[in-house]
Amino acid sequence: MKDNISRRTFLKTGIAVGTGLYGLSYLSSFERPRSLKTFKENSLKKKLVVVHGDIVERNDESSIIREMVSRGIKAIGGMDKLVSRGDNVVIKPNIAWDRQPEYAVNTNPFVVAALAEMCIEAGANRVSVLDHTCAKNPGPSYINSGIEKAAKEVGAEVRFVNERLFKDFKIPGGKLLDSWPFYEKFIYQDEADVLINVPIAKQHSTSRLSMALKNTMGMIGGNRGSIHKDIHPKIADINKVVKVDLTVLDAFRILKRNGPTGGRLEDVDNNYENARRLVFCVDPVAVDSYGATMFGYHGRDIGFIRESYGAGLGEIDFKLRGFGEITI
Amino acid sequence: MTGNSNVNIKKGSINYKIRLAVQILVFIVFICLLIYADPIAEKDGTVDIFLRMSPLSAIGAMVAAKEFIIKYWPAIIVLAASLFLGRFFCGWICPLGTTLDITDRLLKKQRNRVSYKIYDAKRLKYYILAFLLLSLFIGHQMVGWFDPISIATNAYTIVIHPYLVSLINSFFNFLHKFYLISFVSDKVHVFINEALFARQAPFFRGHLIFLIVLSAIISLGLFYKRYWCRDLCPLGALFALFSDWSIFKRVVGQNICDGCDKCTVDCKMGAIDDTGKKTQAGECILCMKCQDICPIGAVRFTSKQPSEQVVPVNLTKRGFITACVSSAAVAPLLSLNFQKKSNGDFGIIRPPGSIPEDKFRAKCIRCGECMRVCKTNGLHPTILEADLSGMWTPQLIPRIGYCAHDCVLCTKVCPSGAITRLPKEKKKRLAIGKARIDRNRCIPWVGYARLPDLDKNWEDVSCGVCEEVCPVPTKAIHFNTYVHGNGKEIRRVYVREEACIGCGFCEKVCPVNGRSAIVVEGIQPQVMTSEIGMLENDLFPVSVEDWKRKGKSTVYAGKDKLFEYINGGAEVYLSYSFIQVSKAVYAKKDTDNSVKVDIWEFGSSDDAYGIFAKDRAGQGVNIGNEASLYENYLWVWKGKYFMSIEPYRGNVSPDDITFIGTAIVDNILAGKVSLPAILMYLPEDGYIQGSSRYFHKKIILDNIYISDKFIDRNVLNLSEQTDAVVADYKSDKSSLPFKILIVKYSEKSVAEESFKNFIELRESWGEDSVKTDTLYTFEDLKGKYSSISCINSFLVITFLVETKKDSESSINGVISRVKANQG
Repeated sequence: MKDNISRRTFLKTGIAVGTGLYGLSYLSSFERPRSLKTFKENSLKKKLVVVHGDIVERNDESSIIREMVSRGIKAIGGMDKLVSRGDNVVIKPNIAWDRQPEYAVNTNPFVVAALAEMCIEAGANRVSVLDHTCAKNPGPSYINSGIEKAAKEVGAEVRFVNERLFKDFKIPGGKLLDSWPFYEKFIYQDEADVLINVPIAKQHSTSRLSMALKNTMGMIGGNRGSIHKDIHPKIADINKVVKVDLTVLDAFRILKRNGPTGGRLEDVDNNYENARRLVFCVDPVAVDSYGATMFGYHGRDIGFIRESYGAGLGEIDFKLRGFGEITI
Repeated sequence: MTGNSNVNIKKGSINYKIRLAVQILVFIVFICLLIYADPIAEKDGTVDIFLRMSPLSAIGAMVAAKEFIIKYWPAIIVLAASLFLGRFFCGWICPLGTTLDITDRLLKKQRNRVSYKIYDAKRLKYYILAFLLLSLFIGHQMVGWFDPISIATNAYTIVIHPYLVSLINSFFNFLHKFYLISFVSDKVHVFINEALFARQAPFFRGHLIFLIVLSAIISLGLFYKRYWCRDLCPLGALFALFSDWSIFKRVVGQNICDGCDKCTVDCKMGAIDDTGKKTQAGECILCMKCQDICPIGAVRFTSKQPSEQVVPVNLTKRGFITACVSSAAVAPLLSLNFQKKSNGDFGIIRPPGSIPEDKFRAKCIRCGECMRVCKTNGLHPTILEADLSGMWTPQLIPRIGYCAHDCVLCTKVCPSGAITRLPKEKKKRLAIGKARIDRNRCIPWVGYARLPDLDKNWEDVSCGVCEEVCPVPTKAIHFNTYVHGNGKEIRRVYVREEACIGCGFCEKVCPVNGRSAIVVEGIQPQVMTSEIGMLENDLFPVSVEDWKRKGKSTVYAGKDKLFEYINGGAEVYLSYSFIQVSKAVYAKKDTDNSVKVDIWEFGSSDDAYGIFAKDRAGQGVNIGNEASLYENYLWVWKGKYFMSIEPYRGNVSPDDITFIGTAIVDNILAGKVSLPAILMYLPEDGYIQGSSRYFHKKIILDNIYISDKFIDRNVLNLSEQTDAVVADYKSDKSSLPFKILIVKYSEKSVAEESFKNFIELRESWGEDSVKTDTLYTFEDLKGKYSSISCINSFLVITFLVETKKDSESSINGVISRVKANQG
């Protein structure tokens, strides 16, 4: 190999390489048009279904919850009414904190697993479970919440949020937010045909309660802290963008105080009278409105429920479209 | 590799190949232990095994900390093995050595041009060793900066791994933009990320500094192979000094060696002399290369080296003395406290489980292992925050990463025990720092300050992200909600210092741009926080016969909450170790009568007594440890608790009050309790029962009449650390009692300073003093006497005494009691 290159070769190769790289980056700046996710056409019933169930021993939890989920889904029509063969399903539980399931700050892993399993049975091509955790490193949250293990066992994909895949989206009709970075997986049609939101019901210091509508904050990126100023209309704004097809509220254990992080078993309500139930509905506002009653509020008392109702995202009267209760 | 491979190699060396295999294997283990440090440490694996193999850091940590560290057993084994195997560690195990072998190979071509251009100072490493060891005795542990294993760990943790991961990430992020390629590349990316165990690229402050250090070490390889090992490494020098009894010494068959010079040229340590026959045992790292390349197989490694082949270590007296003197000069220079902070408290946050600061510096070998495993990437090396001598010790920088509540990884990987192991339950309550709110930046506080503006045009200024993420189960951050005239709220945040564990999650998430509005400052030593919120209900029975509790009790825990409860006068309670107060109201059935009960909890029973004694009145009653009843008000002291019961509505008789009081107090558990120790120094003669006041801070003394003039300055240096008691005494000459004050200081010097201060103060009032020995007596304008004396760490003062004789005899009474108890 010749060691020296002439001035001419240097210039030539320099220009060639430079043009090549520039061309590449120019090409990469083209974004392929991707259609946004729309609500999935479905023939689910619009009514709100509450399934009660209790456990005596900790070991029964898995099987009881599975039973509760399958009865609940059946009552609103069945999973096959929502998920068709070959669909990509995204399940969004609350895995925000690094705590064990009994502290009731993350969604019950068995609820997630049961839903994922039913989606796979209904013929889903791929079921992914993910959340944008509040903890900086998602690993411990995924492990300690028990969701990673439970979901992987039934064959779902468990993925961490990748910081580079947030993209700014316009919020049509946003009251306070014009646009905000959302996570691609929840937003694009080719990533998600069906989006199932699986929040846990808990007290929240800033928004008072954290349930279905608040859980969508795990689908966004950006400076999430700044949302907390004037949080109620902002939560409604975010829900104008995400198209959640089904909401399953986990109220098997509910956190009554010191939310959203909890950490004391004394603050967790396990009573059959107040908790120990799952709520199923296609309408997130109705779900939250029902959930508020478990904490002694009405839907109207909570700002973001009121705002979301005002924005036409759902019905604040959860009995309006029908109401059913099942006890196991 | 070999330049002239046309020379037929008669006999390669199997030993060389074994060594190569072992070296590669060991290196792979080292790298894997670093990459998979997190999961391995989680399972209590010994991630730090390599670091613990270094006798140099073992000696450094042990001597500097003046204790034997059992964790360093591998180092002892290595050192013992070196007695018989020479510098095998350098050639076979040392990860820095392996790294340099690799980079030297890459630099081969360049080396041909500049090799041997600098002095091959083989003796330098011995002087560095002497320098480091001597500085240990002067009290500075600099060993960590020179330990090759620390350097290797740092190199891979702080420089190579982050650079590699971010390179990979940016490459795949670029590919991700191309639709067709991204199908494949994204999967590869996920796989690589999972294999490298890096979800997000770690980042370490000061990585550039270490890059420069590492580059320097590597580029010295341009001059000589393994320049670091042959000329600089103090660990190598240590091994070399121990290598005399090695059973593997290089021996050359004198008669068959044809002096081809190959081994001399190829020896990376320069251990072989020009003839190829003599070997310096201390330099040979047993790489077996010479045996491998010798064309006639004349090299063997045996225990007996013919004396004519020995080259002894050649140290000069001058060099040694220079090393010692420079060590003695440099070590104190390094410790120059240019931060001008007293008592070594720099406010930096050490990892949880860190031992007290000076011990920490002595033990920490600056290896960076804790930074490697930190799950949130929050631990970073200090640059100058902990002074030069504390450089490269770990520090939590919350704005980059907080201390995860449920994580104890860093405590598990520390090789030297600078970070002690902690069980998770304990770690969750260990305070490594305290958060403070900057009210000039905090969104709700700034909003509150702008109330007049807001009044015209209201906008929401609530935030509370810090409260939301606070991992303390009962929350160390609380809201104090201000309700404006228009019904809108501003939720101002407060930190409950006693509950705050200083994890820094709040600082991390604070949405204020740039510097956080809530900042965590490190505390030394780290302390356990107390569990708060246990008073609630437990101490207040639901009913006492006819009296029923109205609703739940209300708890006010911590300083800020106390201000909410009693705005004026809270300082009095805070001058004792206030923890919390809870309030409940009991109402009698079918009547309008109700009473209010407050139970105060303090840090010690002494302090609870102090509050009880502070303004007791009326007659003593037999409830709790001590109690007094004045009309229908009752005050009770029991253990760490002080309880007050007072009528709330209607007609409540003293009997009702004592009845409820007894019932509630019986509910409180307290062990054996005694009066504060300082009370025993009070003389019994003339003591007026129930007049003693026990306190710590000046604010209490301010409310006691001791002289006509108000003492503005804290001349007596009263603080949390001082115990003080003041009591009334009957006087024969006057109807008014006089007072005796006894103060006990934590140190004698403070007592003496206060003694001087007080005398100066009285003299500045223009009072005459009479002095006998250490006893001063002053006469004030009204003709009352006041005496002062100081003994050990005690200060005794009398006030308002009628005669000089009484005054002095009272002082002597106390002094004799102090002497009796101390002697």
